Amino acid sequence: MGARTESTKTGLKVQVVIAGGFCLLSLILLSIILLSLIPAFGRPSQNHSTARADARQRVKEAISAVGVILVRNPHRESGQELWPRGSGVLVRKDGVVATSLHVIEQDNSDVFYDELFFALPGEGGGSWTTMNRYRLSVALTSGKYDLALLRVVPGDDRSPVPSNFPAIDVTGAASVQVLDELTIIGYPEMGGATVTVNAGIVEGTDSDGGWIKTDGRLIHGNSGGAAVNDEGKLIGIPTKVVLDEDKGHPYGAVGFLRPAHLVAAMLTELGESERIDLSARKEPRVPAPPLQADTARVGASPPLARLPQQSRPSAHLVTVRGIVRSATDGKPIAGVRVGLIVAGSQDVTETTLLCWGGTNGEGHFEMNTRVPVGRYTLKARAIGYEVYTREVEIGPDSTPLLIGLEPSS
Amino acid sequence: MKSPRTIVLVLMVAAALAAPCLAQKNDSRSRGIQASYDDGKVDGMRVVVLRNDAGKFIPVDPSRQFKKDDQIKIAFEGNFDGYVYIVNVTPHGKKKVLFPHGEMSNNMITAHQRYELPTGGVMFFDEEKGLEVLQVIMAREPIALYDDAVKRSGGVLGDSAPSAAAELSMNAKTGVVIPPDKAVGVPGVRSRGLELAPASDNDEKGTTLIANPEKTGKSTRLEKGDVAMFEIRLRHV
Repeated sequence: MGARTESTKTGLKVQVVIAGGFCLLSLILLSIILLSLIPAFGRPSQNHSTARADARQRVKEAISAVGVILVRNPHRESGQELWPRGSGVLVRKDGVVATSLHVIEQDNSDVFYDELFFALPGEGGGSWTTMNRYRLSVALTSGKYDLALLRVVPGDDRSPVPSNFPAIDVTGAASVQVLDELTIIGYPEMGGATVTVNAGIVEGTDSDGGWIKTDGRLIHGNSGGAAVNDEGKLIGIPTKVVLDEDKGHPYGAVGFLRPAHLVAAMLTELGESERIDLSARKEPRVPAPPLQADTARVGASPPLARLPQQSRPSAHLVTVRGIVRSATDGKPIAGVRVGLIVAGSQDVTETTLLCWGGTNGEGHFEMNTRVPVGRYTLKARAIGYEVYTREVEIGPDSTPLLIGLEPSS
Repeated sequence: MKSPRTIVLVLMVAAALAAPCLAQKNDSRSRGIQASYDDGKVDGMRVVVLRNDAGKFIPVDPSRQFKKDDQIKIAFEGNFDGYVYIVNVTPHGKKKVLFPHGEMSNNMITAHQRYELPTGGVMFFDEEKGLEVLQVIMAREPIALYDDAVKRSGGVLGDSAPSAAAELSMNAKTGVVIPPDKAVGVPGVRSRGLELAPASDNDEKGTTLIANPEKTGKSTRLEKGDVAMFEIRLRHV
């Protein structure tokens, strides 16, 4: 004989059927006791909590790479004092900081603030007013994607420049999926002078437009900071919020992040210009004016006209080359377009395409831009052949890639 | 003056199918290809490479060695109404649409009419030594990727991220896929195999190429969205 109970929870009716009989109940209780005694059944929850703890630790480590962008105009009537303009994140250990372009521009113009600084929390965090502080110069900007790379430079400020900054890994956008959890790290105005962290999820991606959407809270001051995954890797740069409101009544908002692979592409471009700069040092150079930026569009040819003010050694940049042959007879194929896109990407767009090349009559190709060592998706395409797609690990030894194309059916 | 010699064309499309074709020395087979071309049962082209020799352009063997400042033209005719593109792949892998280009913006061809490219000019070998490849592409309809390159960058392909991304977005089964905002021309392009009948010496008609219906199992004519391509490989020393 059975009994039925009904309960409600937040409007959802739940029905629970209890199978009657003392014996059955005893059996269930006994089973639970026995299962709990088997060590294997205890492991998953232990592993789960360990994994959660590890994830939290990695996110905490990422916090140390996020700081405040401070600006001032010392020679003007207003704005002579340092004030926080937004957030920034270290993306290279030698002191390259990524942020939103609008953070360093004055009043939505294309004029930068006269002086830029980066305040970085130490071991114990703390307020930006007491953090280590470094002078910045503009290294590379992208107006299209509202992104900027800034470089820590020696200056007259209070903190000596360390040789090894706590940089964040910028490969987090490659595996982003809808509903993935993320953490927003930054220095929003409403959060005061210390770091503010909040959680959210990925609400969607827009690869054509170059956006990742999130419900993570983004408010003034979060711009230029970091959105990281549970590995502590950079997913994107908080850039804007679209608010749905009617007569001042807010209904909701969608936060928009610039995907981290755009930052990676800019780093590649910056590395290229630094390499050129280093080779150009053999000849006399005209000193660059202070705080002039090198501008370039992501994915375009490196800007050769104006080299960065400061030079740093390139960080593990590799020239990718290889050969394309027919998979059926081994003959080289001419005119094949070959490209590297963000790992895990399905679509090739100007946003996801990091570098590319074309084969000559001998089937040889060399990509137009060097890339950092890492994992990518390799694509190759020629009329008359099936599309070629493969995940590749580009190592520091620059081993030539071998590609075999199957004739299309 | 040098005598016209056999023109050897290396097929790009379906190389596995092309290999036996290249080895085809059988006169009867060549006659069959010529006959198929002449009676219009299949779509095809006749192609001759011409080299400037003392002011006169004469047919030459493309497998010869070319030198800096050598001037050449490509002469061809088709037995179908359609479109022809010629794409140059340089020794360094740069690609550029040579035809259509500039004043020759209309690349629609009419059956059994002879064309010489470039019209009113010549192609010449510059300082870049190595293997120059000319890809000749015939199609029933315009190919958006190439038309787009001609309009946007003087025919240069892969000079920018959008251009390279458009090439990499091509799909062999559904054809050339151009992003919606750049879509012009045909929705799809498929490749077709080719068969080749090499020219004999002094053959002003040149080499005959026909679409390869036996191998592909498709119709004997280029269909909407089909493309057939072959290569002329010129050695620049």
